[in-house]
Amino acid sequence: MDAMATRTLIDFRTDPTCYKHWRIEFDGPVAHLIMDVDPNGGLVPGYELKLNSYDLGVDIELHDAVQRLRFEHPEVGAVVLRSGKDNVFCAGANIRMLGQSSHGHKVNFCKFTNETRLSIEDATENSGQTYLCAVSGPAAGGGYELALTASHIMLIDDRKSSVSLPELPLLAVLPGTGGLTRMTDKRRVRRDLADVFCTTEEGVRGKRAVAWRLVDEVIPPSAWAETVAKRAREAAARSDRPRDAKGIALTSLERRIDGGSIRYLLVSVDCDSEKRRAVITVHGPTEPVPDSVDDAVAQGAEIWPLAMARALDDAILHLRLNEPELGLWVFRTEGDPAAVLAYDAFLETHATHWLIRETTHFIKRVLKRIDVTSRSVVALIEPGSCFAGTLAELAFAADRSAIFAGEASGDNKPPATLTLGAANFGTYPMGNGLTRLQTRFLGEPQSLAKAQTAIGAPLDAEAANDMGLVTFAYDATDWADEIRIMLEERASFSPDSLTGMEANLRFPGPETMETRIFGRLTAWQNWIFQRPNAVSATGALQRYGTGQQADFDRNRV
Amino acid sequence: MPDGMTIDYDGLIPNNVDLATDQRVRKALETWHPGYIDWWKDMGPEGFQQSLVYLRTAIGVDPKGWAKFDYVKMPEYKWGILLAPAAEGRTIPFGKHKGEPAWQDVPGEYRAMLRRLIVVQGDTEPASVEQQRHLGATAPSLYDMRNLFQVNVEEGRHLWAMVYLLHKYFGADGREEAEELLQRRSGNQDTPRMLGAFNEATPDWLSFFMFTYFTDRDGKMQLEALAQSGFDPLSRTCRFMLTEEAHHMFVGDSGVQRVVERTVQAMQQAGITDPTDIASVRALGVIDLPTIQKKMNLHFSLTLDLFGNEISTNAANAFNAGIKGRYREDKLDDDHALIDATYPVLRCIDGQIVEQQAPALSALNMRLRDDYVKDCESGVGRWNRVIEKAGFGFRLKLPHVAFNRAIGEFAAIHADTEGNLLDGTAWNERKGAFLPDDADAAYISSLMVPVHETGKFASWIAPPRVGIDNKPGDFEYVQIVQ
Amino acid sequence: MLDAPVKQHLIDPEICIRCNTCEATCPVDAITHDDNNYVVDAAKCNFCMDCIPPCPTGSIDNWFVVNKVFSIEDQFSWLELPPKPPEAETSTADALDDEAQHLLDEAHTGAGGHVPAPASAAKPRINLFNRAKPAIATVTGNLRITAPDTDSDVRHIILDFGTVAFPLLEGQSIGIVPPGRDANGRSHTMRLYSIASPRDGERPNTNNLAITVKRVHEPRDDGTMFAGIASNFLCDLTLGATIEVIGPFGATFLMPDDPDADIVMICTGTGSAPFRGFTERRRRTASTPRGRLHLYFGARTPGELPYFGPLQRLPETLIVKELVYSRIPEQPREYVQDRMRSRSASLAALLAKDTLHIYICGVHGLESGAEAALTDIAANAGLDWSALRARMRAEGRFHVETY
Repeated sequence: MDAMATRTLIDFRTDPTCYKHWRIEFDGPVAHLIMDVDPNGGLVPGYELKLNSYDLGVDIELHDAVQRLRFEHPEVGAVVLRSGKDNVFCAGANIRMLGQSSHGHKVNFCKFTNETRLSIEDATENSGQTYLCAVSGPAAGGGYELALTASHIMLIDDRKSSVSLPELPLLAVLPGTGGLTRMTDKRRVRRDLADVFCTTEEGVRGKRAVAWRLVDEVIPPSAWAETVAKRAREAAARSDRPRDAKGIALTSLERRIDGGSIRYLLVSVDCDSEKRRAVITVHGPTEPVPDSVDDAVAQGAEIWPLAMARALDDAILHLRLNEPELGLWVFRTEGDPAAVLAYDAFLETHATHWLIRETTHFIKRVLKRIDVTSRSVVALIEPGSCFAGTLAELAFAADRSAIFAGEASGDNKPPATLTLGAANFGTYPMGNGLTRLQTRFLGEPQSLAKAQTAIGAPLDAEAANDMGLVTFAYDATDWADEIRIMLEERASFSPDSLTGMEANLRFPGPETMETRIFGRLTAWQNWIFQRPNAVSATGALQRYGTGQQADFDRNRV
Repeated sequence: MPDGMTIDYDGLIPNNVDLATDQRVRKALETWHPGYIDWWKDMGPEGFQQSLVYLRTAIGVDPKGWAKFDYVKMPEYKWGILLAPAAEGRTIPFGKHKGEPAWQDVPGEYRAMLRRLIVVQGDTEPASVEQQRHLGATAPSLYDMRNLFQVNVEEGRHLWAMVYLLHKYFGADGREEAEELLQRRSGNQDTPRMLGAFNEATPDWLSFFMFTYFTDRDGKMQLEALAQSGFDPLSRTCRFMLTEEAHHMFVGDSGVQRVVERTVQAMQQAGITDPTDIASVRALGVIDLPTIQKKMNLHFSLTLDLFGNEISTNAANAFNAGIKGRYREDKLDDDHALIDATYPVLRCIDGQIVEQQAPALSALNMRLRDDYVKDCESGVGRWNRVIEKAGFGFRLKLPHVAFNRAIGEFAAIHADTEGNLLDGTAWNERKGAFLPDDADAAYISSLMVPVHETGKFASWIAPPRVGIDNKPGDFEYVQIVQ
Repeated sequence: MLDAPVKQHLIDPEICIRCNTCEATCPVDAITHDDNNYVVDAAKCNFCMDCIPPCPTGSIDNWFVVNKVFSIEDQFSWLELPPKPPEAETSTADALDDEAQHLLDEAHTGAGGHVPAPASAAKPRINLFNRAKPAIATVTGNLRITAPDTDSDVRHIILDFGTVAFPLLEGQSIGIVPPGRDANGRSHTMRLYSIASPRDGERPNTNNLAITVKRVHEPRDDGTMFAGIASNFLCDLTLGATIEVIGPFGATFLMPDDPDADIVMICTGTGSAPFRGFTERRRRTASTPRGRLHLYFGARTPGELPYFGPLQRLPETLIVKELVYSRIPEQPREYVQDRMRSRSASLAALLAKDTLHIYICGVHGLESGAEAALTDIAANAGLDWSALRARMRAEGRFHVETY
């Protein structure tokens, strides 16, 4: 049943020469990101990607394209999402794919697609690369959810094209890729109209779609091409991206998988399936910071922060999808904390440079992935580690952390320290809009203030513990045992309850659209994904396409 | 009247649905009526609105009601709401509600599905009137002109039929949809009709005959399937419409046949033995058989696209719900539920055309298309008999279903008329051999000159065997008033 | 029975387009099809005619008189209809049931041979309703059209068919079977009445027809009064009453649709009924016809001449009215043939024209008087009436319906 997770290794690495489902066309400062799904190009057999419907494979390409547009195309100030098919924009996630997928795959698929959609909005908000959406043909379900990520939605008024969220009436599930949330939180659609919209299978088109705030404008076919081009040019003109800069190539990410060992240049992962644990070690920089920002551009994807983040990103995605039984992730770092801080300083100095800006936002997004990963995360701050500045965020992202106190006997590694940097105080906000430290010290503003005074100073175990920056500090006597017991205990709990507990504890404080998507919408969707009304043999997902209606258990729960 | 046979011709809108006492629907229809008349005047047949046309008007819904022919000005045609008589105790004939009493009202859970089916069906009716509106000017005879106009007014009435259902059963949404049926325009870039084939131009009379033969036949198949519906008013409407649709089939079938007849006759007279000697045949002022074949290829393939995807969830849903049945469902001998049945479907797998068994429910579009293709064959056989009788070896043939498709399994590939796969280059090179090109269109267009003298026919078409309403050959089917 | 000639309903496979309408319509499942043809099972077809009007092609409308019926299998194998049996060539059925056919055959004997319908006549529908399945009509008019002070009670009766289509042509008849039983307990025989209104109704686009009925009420030899069952039944009908109507019948005594045709109409009494239909049709359809109508209409007095009033209002350009009276006090008795003779110049000119159609309708014997007059008029013009009559008959231009 769980074909995705066990039989096929899902590889998130791709590039435009391998795309089956998307193409990018460039027109000066405007890029057209065109969805043209190959019906026979599904990730696994068993379904056909008709009508521009998508599976994880399609979304992996989309994610890659969005990423590349930011790094490889500084000249692009506006991206138009559109369909390469004549008769449909996008029919959303492929139903038969969902029907045949395991629960775990569905959840991870939705999580990744949600992250990709947020990354599109991130580009618009933070990179001067504005996404517009040109909807021609029906945009149904996930198709409309994709459109919702754009800052400006244009709908062709050809009386056939419509936007809809038919999940509830058609499939007995929710528009779970942010659909419900973006409607109310982003587009501020009236809740009663949203209710009508989400229960009307065929959706809404034409003027009503504008009146209900579902799209920004409807355009007659005769003015379509011209208006879309005009809006894109206008958006591009507002961009602060350098028109004449040259992008960097996101070169193919080197990765070697050998049994339980996964090796990138700057990240290594050691999987222990018996202990149901993965140890992720991030290596600090070994090269000195570039002399100049031009030098950084010349280094391209090889520059440490970017190379590290790309490897870490891939490792996270790989472990999520391909190693579902490894329920515990242990974060380690190796390297020189000062070198990490030096890179942080470089990033800070050149923060307004397009490439540097892209790099910090990318790191931000990788760290966010950890926040929403349904694995127990533990950070171990050991001698020789470099939890400083940017990498210290790994410790703050973890559910708990432990620092090694004092010297370890028998090696000459420098003692374990935790070093705060400016990066810990605003560069990498979480989904709730706060930094990890703000979130950590929600009830202790004085602790946050105190931490700020310690920027740049390596904190030993005692200091870090005193300041509330770590969970435990163990010395050489206790370390091995305590850590072993902690990890073994963690691995013994029910994975479901851990996931639930962690997801709740990680996001205290204010709600944002993002936290509502991952917390509220996703949680309800995942509940529905477990319910017979959706997934049993006579449920709506299984019955879809057979012509037979689902048999519902009519009890309200 | 309880039997529903009564047509009330007293009010603005002739009907047998007791509009007189149905205030709500009557008001809706009366509100819609001026828009319809405006539409007819704007988009209906161009230039002959004041002429007296010898039209058939249904004056009853029983078989005898078909007998009334008379001269009518088209805008004064008695468009009305006519449903076939209700069958006592009718039950839903298929799907999961099989055996339950047929619905007299729309079941809430299928409202959207039904409305969509009705709107799509309704949209095709005015579309073809729009497509054909310029043809009156080049009618090859008064007889043909009259047939064109008969087809047009009946398509208009079919629109009325669908609009009645929308007004009666679908509330405010239905009224809105009915209004939009008058707003869309065939081939208009901004407000096109819903289906592809109904946005193609009908540039000449051979296209018109091909359209009525091939595309109206799709309409017939769809109506046959809807006539089986468990939603009784839809079933009754479609049953009545089918009788009118038969006339459209006739116009196309006999039209092509007469073109073929004239061509072989002219070839015989001129002593031409090679039907593919196009230049010589065209010198006779008739349409050569290879060009007729190309027109067939075009219209047949365009029409196949109207059947949608071979494997269709919508079709499966509509069947299981009891909304849309199969062609002649009532004559089929199976369980009418199809839950475990399979049906062979032609698929395109790795660039090869292969037959696969698919769940019968999902394959309903394919099945209807198969029935359609079979139905199409009959006329082609008759046309070939004309050629055969004249002693020519040439035979017309339906192209392969994979040929020239834009929707469904074969949209992604190119195939010749025999179903052999072609790559893009080969397709572009050979396309002109399969489909009419500009030169063909120009030649046909050069033949399109009006003939208004009673009993006379254009050079490229033979007179009919039998007149409409058994009228003699020189009957003045249209009294032209410019 | 096998060898007796029977009428068989057949479908022309060359013209049929296999639209299935007939099969869907047939109430007795007599029509079926294979991959080749749609065919009619002679054993099941009851000539109800339901399939005829909806057929879009006309292929349905074939009737052969055969000695041995064609089986379904025979018909499946056809590419075209077999040659029509020669004896069927000459006869145009006026009705499909023997009772009505017999009545019309009788009425038409005066023509002296078989007469086809005029070439330009519309195609009539016949036998759409029969005794088993009559049409129900509502009486919406019953008006005496002879003066109240005369003995002759002639009624103009309007029958409305509501929504039931009853397609008819001028010159056709309908059948009425009076309700009740005769002295032997059998149902009454059918009476035929000529339709007195045009095809589109008493007023244009009404679904009704009119008949002209004379109340039969005359002394018998034994001094008692004979009251015609059907005529009294009809004349006594009150408005709103419903009656059963059979038909329509008649496929030959039809008017030419050709507006150039000259039509001489010779009648007495209720024989004027079809000519009222002819006249109204011509008046409604042809605003400037080149052909004219010539009515020779005999009655005892103007008061006894049906439709006297309405006739006065018709323009001369449409119709030449020769109203002839045999009982005007202090005037010589004039009969129709007398008036014809006094119009011999006009009639002779007409006889020379190929567009002339002559119709005689009235009591038996009228045709002999009229023909005697025509013979003389023709002779004076150098024409041979009997030869001319034969030609006109063959061309459907000479019709007699007397009873």
